[in-house]
Amino acid sequence: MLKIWTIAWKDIYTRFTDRNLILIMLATPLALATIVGLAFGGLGGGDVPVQDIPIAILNADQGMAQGFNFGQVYLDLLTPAEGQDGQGAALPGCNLPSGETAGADQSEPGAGVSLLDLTDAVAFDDALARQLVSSGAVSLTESTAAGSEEGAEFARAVARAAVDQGVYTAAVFIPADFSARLNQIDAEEQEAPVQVSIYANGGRPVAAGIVRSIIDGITNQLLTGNITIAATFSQMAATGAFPSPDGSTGSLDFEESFACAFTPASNTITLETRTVQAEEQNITSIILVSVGSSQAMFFALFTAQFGIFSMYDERRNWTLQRLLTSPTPKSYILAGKLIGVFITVVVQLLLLMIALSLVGSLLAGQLTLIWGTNYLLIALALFAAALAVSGLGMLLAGVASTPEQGQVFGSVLNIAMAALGGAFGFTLPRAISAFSLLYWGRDAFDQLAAGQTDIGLNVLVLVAMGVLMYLIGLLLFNRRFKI
Amino acid sequence: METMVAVRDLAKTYKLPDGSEVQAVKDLDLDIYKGEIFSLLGPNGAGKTTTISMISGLLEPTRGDATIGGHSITREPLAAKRLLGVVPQEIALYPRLNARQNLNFFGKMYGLGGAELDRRIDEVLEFIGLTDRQDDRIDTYSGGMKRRVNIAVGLLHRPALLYMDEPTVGIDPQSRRRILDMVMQLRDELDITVLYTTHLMEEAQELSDRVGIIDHGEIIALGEQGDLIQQVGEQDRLVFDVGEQPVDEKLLGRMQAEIGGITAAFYDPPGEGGEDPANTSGKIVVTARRGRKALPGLIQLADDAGVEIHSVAVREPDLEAVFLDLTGRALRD
Repeated sequence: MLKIWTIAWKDIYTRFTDRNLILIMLATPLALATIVGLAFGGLGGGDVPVQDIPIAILNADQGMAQGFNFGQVYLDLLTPAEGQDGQGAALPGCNLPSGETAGADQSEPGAGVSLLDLTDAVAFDDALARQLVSSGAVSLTESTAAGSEEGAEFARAVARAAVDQGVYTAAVFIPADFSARLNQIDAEEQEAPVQVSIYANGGRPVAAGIVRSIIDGITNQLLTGNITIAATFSQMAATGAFPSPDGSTGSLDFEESFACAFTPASNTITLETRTVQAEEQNITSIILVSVGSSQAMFFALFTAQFGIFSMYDERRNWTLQRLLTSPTPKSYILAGKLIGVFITVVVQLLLLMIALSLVGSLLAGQLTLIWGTNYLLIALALFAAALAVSGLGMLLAGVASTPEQGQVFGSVLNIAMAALGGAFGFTLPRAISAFSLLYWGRDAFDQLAAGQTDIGLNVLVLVAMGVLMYLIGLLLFNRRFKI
Repeated sequence: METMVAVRDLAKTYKLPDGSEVQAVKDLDLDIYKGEIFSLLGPNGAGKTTTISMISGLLEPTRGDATIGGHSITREPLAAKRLLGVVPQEIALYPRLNARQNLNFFGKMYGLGGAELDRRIDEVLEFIGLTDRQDDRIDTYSGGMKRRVNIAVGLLHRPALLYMDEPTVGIDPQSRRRILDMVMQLRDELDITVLYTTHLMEEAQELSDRVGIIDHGEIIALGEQGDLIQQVGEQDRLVFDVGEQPVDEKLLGRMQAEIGGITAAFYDPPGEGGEDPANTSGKIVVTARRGRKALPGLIQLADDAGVEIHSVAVREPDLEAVFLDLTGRALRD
């Protein structure tokens, strides 16, 4: 084991003391990600080029007996009402001041772009779903169509297909019991957390990240409002000022007045100040994560290939033969090389993530953990990505019969992976981009950065890809590589 | 005498892409004794590298076996390799590491570690005279210094057998002299058995206790230098210095055909292509049974061909003559 580690350490040491290699491994991807982050994320009040992100909102919320429909809040905030942008019918009887909108006050200097400019949301229902299918804008697979022929399920299936096919960047699903569950004041009554689902197009990571950020923001405000109300209700009930926290015996007038707290124009969930400018740093972080992770993996592909192809250099320089004439089994030498490559890639990705965090923090003017705070899952994603990246290097070394051939194959393959995975600033439909390991890695980091934890599939795919490519590559390499 | 290396019926057959087979080494038998410097000589393609690659465990024999210190290279490869130090012709070092780091790395590959490894590194650095440059990266060293570190790596674990493949290639005469002295010191002071390959006959003559000549995968001569020279009879070696003039093959042919007693004639060009890269002038080398008698005729033929002879040297029979006599070729061919 000591010999394996000695070989691995020698490789790691030589890689990280090579200034030219450092330039390629760290400085270049860091610079590219930062430039793209600044260009698309904006800095200090510049215009945000990301606009009119198409979103389908499927509000199945049946509301509450008193007319509360928290699900409608999402539609009110993100879809323009006729003649009065941003105001809908979340709560009956609430009158907004004339001209007040849920979006930004455009007349206010520095207000930036409103959510209505940023997004192009539609209320997605069964009728719209059928219209899209019949017009051919969205096509359903036979199995999808057969499994969901009617009503809400059909709309959900069409919405997902529409996202997959690029009609929408994301679909937001609000469950039927959303308001009812949200209004369960007593925590003990809550069976499970109330959940708003977002189905996003992985091929549009930046836009999908923005949608996720917006929906998170609205949901958080709803929850904050709800907690405040819960506390107030409880206090009033305790003091006898209000009969019951569930509203069953309360005064309707009071409830209606209180319910107006949820209107977009009111403090609790108003988005008057939620302009894109206010979200700029967040968007920059999202772009840094998305572009940074894919750029990091893209350049790590070269590192891994360079590392594994160094076996040929060792053979040419006779250091390999010298190792083989020592009492060191060939398997130890190969294991040492592979571990060295893997650790090099892990360190490269880790250093880039730290450096991008510093860039994000500098842009935000404060310490910003752009990759999220779930360190365990971040580490898991990083290791899975490193395994897949180095596995591809091994596969390439196995397939190529000469290092020169490997370099040509490698460059083409890496660029293809990067293009499919979205590292060059443009994105492809998920059905295509999913072939790239960069897509799975980047998507995992995007999710973690947005506070999501559902990266099981990403990790599984990356690990499976990595292990499979390692095994095939090793098999072929052992056959091809002669001393 | 105690045997350090015993080679028995060692053979290697390669399959060519067209399905045919080439026998690179043919049932070789060879003993190398403990504490001797044994030179294995042979032209390119003679089977020398294949034989040594099998002995050092780089190549698997098609049949037969070799033992180092009694350990079979096929059945106990790790035990056999522990006794073997290798100094390849190439500078088999990591250029981005310094001398000490290189020695430390390869020392660990031989199972050394801790204070013992540090002590051995200090010893070999002192032996090669590079203690003061140990922290400099290899890629900043001169050719001769690299060669010395290359040797130090092979010596680090105090091997019983040291294989040195052309260790003086491409270095200046001073460094070469230093390395030859080191090789003799290894035998005389450390009792290390040295298996040496070279295409420079002078080196083989100076260093070797015994010589083996291999050609077409077979040992065609084996023994002490004096014995081998006697085997081919007394022949003079005439060396004509012709400077940088080109020499036509026709002239060499006429020398062999028209002058009696000539057994071989070849041209030794100046620089890297020649027997000694340090030579700045080309030479016509002729072996003859009665060299002095043949001298006037040879000079006349050269004059007829327009080749001006700068100087002539007549040498006693040597290994080169043995090699020419046995193989019909110069060692460098």
